[in-house]
Amino acid sequence: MGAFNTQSPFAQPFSDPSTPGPSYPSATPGNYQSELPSTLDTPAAGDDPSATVRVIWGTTVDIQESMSLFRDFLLEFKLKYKLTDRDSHRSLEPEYQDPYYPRILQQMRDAESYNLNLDCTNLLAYPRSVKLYHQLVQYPQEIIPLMDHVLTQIFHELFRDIEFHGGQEFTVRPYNLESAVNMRDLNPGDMDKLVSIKGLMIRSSAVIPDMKQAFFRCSNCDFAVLVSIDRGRIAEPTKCPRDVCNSNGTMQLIHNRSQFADKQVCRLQETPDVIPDGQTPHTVSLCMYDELVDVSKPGDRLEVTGIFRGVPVRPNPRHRSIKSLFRTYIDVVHVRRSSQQRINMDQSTTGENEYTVDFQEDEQVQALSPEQEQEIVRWSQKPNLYAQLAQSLAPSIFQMEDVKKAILLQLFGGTTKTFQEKAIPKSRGDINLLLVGDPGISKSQMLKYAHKIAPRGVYTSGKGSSAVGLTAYVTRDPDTRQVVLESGALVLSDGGICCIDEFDKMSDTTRSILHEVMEQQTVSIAKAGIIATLNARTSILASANPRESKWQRNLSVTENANIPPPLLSRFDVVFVLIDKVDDFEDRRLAKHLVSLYLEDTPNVTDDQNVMPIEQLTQYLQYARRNYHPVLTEDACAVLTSAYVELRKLGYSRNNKVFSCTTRQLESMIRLAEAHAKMRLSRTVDVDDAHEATRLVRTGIQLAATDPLTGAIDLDLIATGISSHTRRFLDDMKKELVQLLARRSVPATRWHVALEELNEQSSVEVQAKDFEQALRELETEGYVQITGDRGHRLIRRLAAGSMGM
Amino acid sequence: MTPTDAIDAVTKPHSVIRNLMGSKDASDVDAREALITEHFRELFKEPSEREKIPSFTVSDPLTLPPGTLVRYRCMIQDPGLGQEIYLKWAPLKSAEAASTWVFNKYSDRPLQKEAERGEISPVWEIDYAAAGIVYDEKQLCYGVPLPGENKWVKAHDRNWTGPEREREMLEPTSQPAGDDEAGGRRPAKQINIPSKMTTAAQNTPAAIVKIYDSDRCPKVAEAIEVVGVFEWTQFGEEGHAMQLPSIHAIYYDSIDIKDLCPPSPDVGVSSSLDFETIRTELIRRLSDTLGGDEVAAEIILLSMVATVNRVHNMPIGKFHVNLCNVKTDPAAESTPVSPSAPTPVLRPFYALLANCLPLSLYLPLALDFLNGVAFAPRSNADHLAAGLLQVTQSTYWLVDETAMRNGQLRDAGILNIRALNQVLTELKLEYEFPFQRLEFETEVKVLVVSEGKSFLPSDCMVPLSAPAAERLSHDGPSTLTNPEEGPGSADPMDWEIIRHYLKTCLAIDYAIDPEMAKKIQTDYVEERKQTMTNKEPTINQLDLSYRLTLAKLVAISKGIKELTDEIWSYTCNLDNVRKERVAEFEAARVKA
Repeated sequence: MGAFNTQSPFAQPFSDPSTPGPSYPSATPGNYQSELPSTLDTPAAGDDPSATVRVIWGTTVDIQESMSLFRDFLLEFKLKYKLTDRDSHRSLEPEYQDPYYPRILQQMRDAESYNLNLDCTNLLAYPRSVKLYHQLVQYPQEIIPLMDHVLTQIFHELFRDIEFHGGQEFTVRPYNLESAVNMRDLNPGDMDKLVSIKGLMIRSSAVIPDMKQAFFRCSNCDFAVLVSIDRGRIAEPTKCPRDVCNSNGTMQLIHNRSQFADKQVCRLQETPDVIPDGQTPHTVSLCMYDELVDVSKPGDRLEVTGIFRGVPVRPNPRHRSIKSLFRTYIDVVHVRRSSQQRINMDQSTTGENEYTVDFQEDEQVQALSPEQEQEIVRWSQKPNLYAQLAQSLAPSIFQMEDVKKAILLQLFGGTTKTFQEKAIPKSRGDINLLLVGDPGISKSQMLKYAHKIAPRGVYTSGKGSSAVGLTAYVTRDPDTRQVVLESGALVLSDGGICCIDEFDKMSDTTRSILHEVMEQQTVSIAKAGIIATLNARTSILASANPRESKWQRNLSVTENANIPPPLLSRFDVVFVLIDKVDDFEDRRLAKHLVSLYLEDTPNVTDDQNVMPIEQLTQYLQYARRNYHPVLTEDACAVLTSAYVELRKLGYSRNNKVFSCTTRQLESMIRLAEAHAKMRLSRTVDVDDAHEATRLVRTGIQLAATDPLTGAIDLDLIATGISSHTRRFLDDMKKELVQLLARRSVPATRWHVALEELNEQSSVEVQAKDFEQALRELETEGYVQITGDRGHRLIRRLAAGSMGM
Repeated sequence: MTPTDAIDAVTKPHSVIRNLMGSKDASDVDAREALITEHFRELFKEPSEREKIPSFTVSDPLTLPPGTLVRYRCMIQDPGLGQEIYLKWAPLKSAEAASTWVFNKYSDRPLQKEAERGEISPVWEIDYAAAGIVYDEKQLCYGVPLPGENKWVKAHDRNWTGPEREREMLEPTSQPAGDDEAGGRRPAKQINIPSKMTTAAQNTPAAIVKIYDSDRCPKVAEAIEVVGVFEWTQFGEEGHAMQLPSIHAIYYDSIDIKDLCPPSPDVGVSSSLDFETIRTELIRRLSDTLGGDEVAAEIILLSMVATVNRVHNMPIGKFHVNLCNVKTDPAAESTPVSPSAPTPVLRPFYALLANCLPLSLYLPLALDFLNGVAFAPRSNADHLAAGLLQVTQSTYWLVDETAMRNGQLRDAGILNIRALNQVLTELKLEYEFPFQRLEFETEVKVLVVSEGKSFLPSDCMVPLSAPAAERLSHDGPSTLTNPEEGPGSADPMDWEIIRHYLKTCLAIDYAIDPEMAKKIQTDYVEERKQTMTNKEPTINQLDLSYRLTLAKLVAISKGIKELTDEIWSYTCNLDNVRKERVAEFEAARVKA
């Protein structure tokens, strides 16, 4: 008797005859044994010898027991079993008190869908079905058909009035196992077990018809025979079974009347976060049937649950020589797209009519385990979190603390606000930064670090970009030969940070695009018959070199940087970084650099300050997703007064100078929100507001000084100290005096005094302010300052005219 | 261990393995399994013993008898070729005899084959349902011969054909696509997978390396030496299957570039090397090929001994040199340029490099090459196709911009330049996978040769002096006698000494003592102050890093472990000379 084999890959995959999937014949108690020859009747250890207990072959799993367990579970499970202690107060709500699954079954009946997605954590939560869960994981091949059978039974009981077509199959699709396994760790011990793996789908085949039942007809007498697939084979009848005819070799296969199931073979690849160092990603093959076909496309991140199987490699399908090699694949039972877990999509930015992928099943899926969450919350309580995060952002770059802090806040981002009055457009939460200054300050490196950490960022160089490349361009799709729109850099970094290097070298036409992006957060295209407006909700981090390749101190920012004022004003903070010759700082920098070269293999002692990148990213993701701080009254007051001060500063200058507009106020609001988000706080407090104003002020100080009255003086505060600053200085002097009075030693080191002052004050004291205050104290005769720059000593004098 | 042990291990490793394992019922079965690797390692510990194993790269796989032990020095081009589950202990049952267990590790041969050679009687079947059946996993990697391996390295790897083998143990050696014993069609034998080989290496054999040790797997682009059993295996889907050489790894070791230059009795102990003389000699030889420019030669020598550490993900110690003012020879425009045929001007120079360094490659930036060949490896869903820039650690690249002519750079070319850029700045190469890009570290040394300033980023720019440039473009090819030997070469033994010198320099443990460090810091601070007042451009931290690297290279090239005052001043002088040259060069170009 010849064997009729189908020619598709994995043609003879199953050593077991029954397959999970809707294609096994309707399970009624009577036929059960014939469908599952893997069951075995054993006499019950007990009284009645005629009562047999059916178990699964090779195990002690009692079929009846499993079935009744599942039945009990379906009818009795209530959501209150799943509540954690935190939510236990909700257990009295009716939703949590009533049996869960009958409701689901009612929904299934109304929707006419016959798949039950079974969340396995429910099985674990319900005390009596824990055993069933373990059986399910160990012997999915057998337990899943049992579950299907029970489900059908219950359905029939509950809804007696419904007519079912013959062969209507119900399927149970388990998912959400206790733990997902790494693709790399699947080993022979997992064969034939239910596993759950995550990955990225890279390829899917076309839909393959998989024959389940063959229809043969005799060409002589037209007698028809249906032959089902058995152990991967269809036994082709060689002669007509009808006694009257009995002719040889006349049975023909009729395709149209044979039954096929849909099959699709896909490949799933590891995502970068789980790949070990130095390895390329692994892939695993997936086999999907019927409803699961085309559920996901290449490019989707999935979490699949299925049975891990091995198939003997049979290179020559006509031949029996069985090698001892197996190829493995996963027989998929459930597919879930995990696109929600991508960190980049900030849901608050989606508009009204915008489509986002929705979860249908369990809304409580967390990306992080509770322990990890607690860990993150613990980090947020650390006192020097801000400094530490800034340091971890770019550990090898020395100094530039303010820039690092600003970039950190940019990564966190402000809150997008939609106003209830329809007329006011949405206010963006993205912060844009510009770094200008002398070359050799590692601006590009800073950009690279930001790009590495930023979710979904694009790094481009100004010189190498064109307007088209930044926004969107029109190409021909290679497959369909139609004209399509391809996203450019800004659109691709939607929801992330776009790093643009050599901003000044960008042509003006290119720059004009950025105007729109930075304010409206959209990109408009009108070309090749396509008129569209795309979203580009990105933050921009740009770096520019001065025109003369060294910052000219007698020219204003606009002239030096070659960036027109309207564009310049769209940046929230502009940092002017000048390579200043400062003995102390240079020495520190040189020491740091030389230490890197000291030995061939330096054991870099990571200070406790530096967080590894993965931690930083995790923290970022968590904060961005869960916290959207809201301004408080006090913070508003601080921000308003700061804004007023800044306006006064820029009031009497000519229009070459950077003047303060409401844009700066919005920037401050965003920065304050970002700072609050960093602290994992739901409200924006006064500290956040102060920090925001300080950053904006730092930027403006350097950028706003009038070139006619004096060059940018980095050592002294800009002329025209407002009364607010004056008061601030006075307070500081008073504090200093008290501080020095308290100390027992007459002389204090510079840095010690600065640190102590910082500890006491609620607002961070800048070095420049400190120096100014001390100088004033010196002129007043209260202190004497000796020594040179870095090692100055402050000596308290006994008497002095303290006119305070 | 008797002398025949080694011979047995080479000619019939499978029976040796089976003997070591004994029967499955023994209590220490797992321990014995670990012993197999140990046994083979012990046998071949000495280099003289190791030479008895035939080398895969030197012998022709079509004539090599399957089932022999081979050693293969290769780079792992693709560590993720697949995974296979196999029967480690295969239970065979038969109608006639009692069932038995066969230890099936390190082999892919179907068990039926055993039957025909008389080891097991023919009617055995695998009893999948037997209790105690043991499955295990093996990882497939693809190993290609080391890219850029120079001839002298290969010569060290002597070809050993092996002792007399017993005829009965052999299978027929050449088998075209034909019917196999069981009546099916066996696919054709191929020596490599073409898409995974670079254009230069299309005709060299490569092998699938099957790793049985599941704890560790070789990294991508790692250079390893594998000792294992050679067999032909089927690979690929039905319809596209092919037979490929594969090696079942019994053990493997990572190899360092220093291992490629084995110690030679002629040279002596490394501590007795006279660094200064060798250094001067090498500089002289280099400058001969560059028209007599000693400064450029010295800097190129320094680039040959650079090593890189990564601190906070930044490569410290990177020293890529850009040699400019090398004029393109207009007459050479007609001669085609390819990775194996450098431009006539550079031919002697490259020949010299190839003679000194174990791994070196020539990369002409000719347009058809740029537009045609992929520089970075890319993967479709199945496997990783080869990329030119995928090389092992410490490979030396000679990138030739003078080979560029007028023309248009297309998409592929732009991506290639971008990949090259990234290798130069970050020492990382981006592999393209469907839907994601992964970066892998690639620590290479690069010398870019150009006419003007190169468009590729480099750490140190050295223009050739004007007289040298003249001499090179006019006299270059004609003074060439024997490209292999290099101009004015001494006897071949000298080359050994130079190779040893370079190898030793790489291994020097360099350090700066704190006193010296302080002095450098002070100097830096002072210089910055001074240049400020003179209205000259200030030096910044990049300059300091560069100087520190240069000083380190000068020190180790002189064989000195610590940075001393005189080395520091020597470095500063050398750098000043270079800076003057750069100024001259730029002035000349502005005028022109």
